[in-house]
Amino acid sequence: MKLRACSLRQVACSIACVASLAGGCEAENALDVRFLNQPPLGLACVEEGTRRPLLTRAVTSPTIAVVTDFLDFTGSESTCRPGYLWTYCATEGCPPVGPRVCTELSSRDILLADEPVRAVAVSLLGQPIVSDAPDGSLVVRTTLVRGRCADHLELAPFDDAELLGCLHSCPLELDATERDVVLENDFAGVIGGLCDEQVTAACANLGLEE
Amino acid sequence: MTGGLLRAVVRVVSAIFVVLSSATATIASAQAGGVPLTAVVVGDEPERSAAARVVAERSALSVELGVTPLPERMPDTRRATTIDLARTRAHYVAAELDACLSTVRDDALLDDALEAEDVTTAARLLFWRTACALAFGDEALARASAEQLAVRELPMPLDVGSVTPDVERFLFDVAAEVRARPRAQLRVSSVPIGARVRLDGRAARCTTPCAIELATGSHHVALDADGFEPAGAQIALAAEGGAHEVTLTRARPERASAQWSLRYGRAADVALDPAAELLGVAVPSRRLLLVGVERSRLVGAYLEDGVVRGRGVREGVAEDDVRALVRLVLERGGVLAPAPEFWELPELWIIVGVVLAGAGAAIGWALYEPPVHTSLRWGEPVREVTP
Repeated sequence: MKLRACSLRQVACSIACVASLAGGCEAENALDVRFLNQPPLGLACVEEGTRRPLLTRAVTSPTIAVVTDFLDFTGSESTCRPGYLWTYCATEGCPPVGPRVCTELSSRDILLADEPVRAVAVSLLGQPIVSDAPDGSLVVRTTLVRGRCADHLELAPFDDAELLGCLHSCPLELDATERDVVLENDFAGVIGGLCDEQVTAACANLGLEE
Repeated sequence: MTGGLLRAVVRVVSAIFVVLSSATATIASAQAGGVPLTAVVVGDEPERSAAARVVAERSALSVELGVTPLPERMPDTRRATTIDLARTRAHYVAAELDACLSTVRDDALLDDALEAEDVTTAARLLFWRTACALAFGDEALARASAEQLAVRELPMPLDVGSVTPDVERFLFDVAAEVRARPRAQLRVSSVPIGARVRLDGRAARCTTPCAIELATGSHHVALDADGFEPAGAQIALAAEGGAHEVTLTRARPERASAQWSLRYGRAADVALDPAAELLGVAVPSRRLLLVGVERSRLVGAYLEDGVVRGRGVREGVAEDDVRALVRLVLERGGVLAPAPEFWELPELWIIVGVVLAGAGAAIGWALYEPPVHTSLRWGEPVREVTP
């Protein structure tokens, strides 16, 4: 199937390929990853008991690791209903593909900001996530967790107590996408209506649980 | 778009076929290698001349075709029998017996008459020699002559009414004696075999080798075969029989030409092996192309060393038909390699390979989807679009 997103690039690239068959032609596709809503709801979840924002957990850690995974949704339907994503991962599996990418934010900078949740987005703005995202249908999932990136390189379920927030995209093929990738967290509607630790953990551990 | 592509493909395929056709002709011509040939074109004018011009033109066949006419036919070498037997009869009536005998005594005259198949003259000569000899008193000569008349079974001439009854009785008595003698067998053979055997001036009795029952005595045996000089001889057949063996000599071109005209002579006969090979003798050439032009078709034969190697027929007498016939006959004769079918040409498969490779490259170019590298970076949050 012709890639609509890259059609113009492909023509130019194909011409270049004819001129140089062994030239290793490639097309570049640059996308922005954006949080849905200002502030993003997935970062505004609270502890069930205290009703304190999960993000405040960062006060005990100098750094916040912003961990991004690409979950394999090959063969899934194109729907974005959280209930479907949950069921699909539970039945078919949606393991992470490609490398886990991570960037660190200063807890101090975030927590001392007037609007910490918004400060996260501001701090991340313009930072590269990955230069070559995995192919195929996948879900982009970003988890904010206490600690350093080095503590979270292993593809294992997160410790629920460390979680600060989580957002995910709808299933999509990044190579065929022209529009920005939008992250949100709709699991609250599936689980109980309140965006709490349970909702955050459901998002953060999607595809990681045994 | 599709129509334009289809037209382009058709053009390319047509061009390929044109190139292949040219290549076929070129290759076949190259294989011919300029073999020198002699060509003879026979038939009625003006078609013959027109065809001869086409054959003679320098063609793409790369054979050197020189057109030559048939040699002039040899005049009839059979000497006309010019014996004035009327004068002999006048001498006989005037009792000028010496003069009478002198006009018919020469045996060469008899040979000439038999050679010319002039049986009547031969019979009359022997008759008058018998009559003159009897009147002259030379009974031995008279008997010999009467015997020859009988032995050769020549017809009794009408002149018998002009002589005295005793001559007539003498002739019939000798004839009776000859008929009463036992006959003997004459075996005739020749190299090559198959020659027609004429005996005592009469049409062919058999073809060699053969045996003939004859009255004993003197006979004239003549052998005649296409492509060979005729051979005639007087033989004496004894009571125990005899053999006559002859090695024929190759006919001179003029003789062969005369034989061809006499026996065949039609353009269509070129396709017959004996006729073609006779023409091969008439036009001595190691490689000979014969073209016969009829009103609406052409026939051809190719001879190598006098033997037919290939022949062909083509309907139509147009210039292209002549060229096609020449090619056909020379191909069948092994002079020209048959033009290979286009699918047998390596060039075809090279072109097909190039075309397929080109088509494959074009398809690959059309279908090729280069690998896409997607890079991600954090962007501005976006406000929810509420429905």
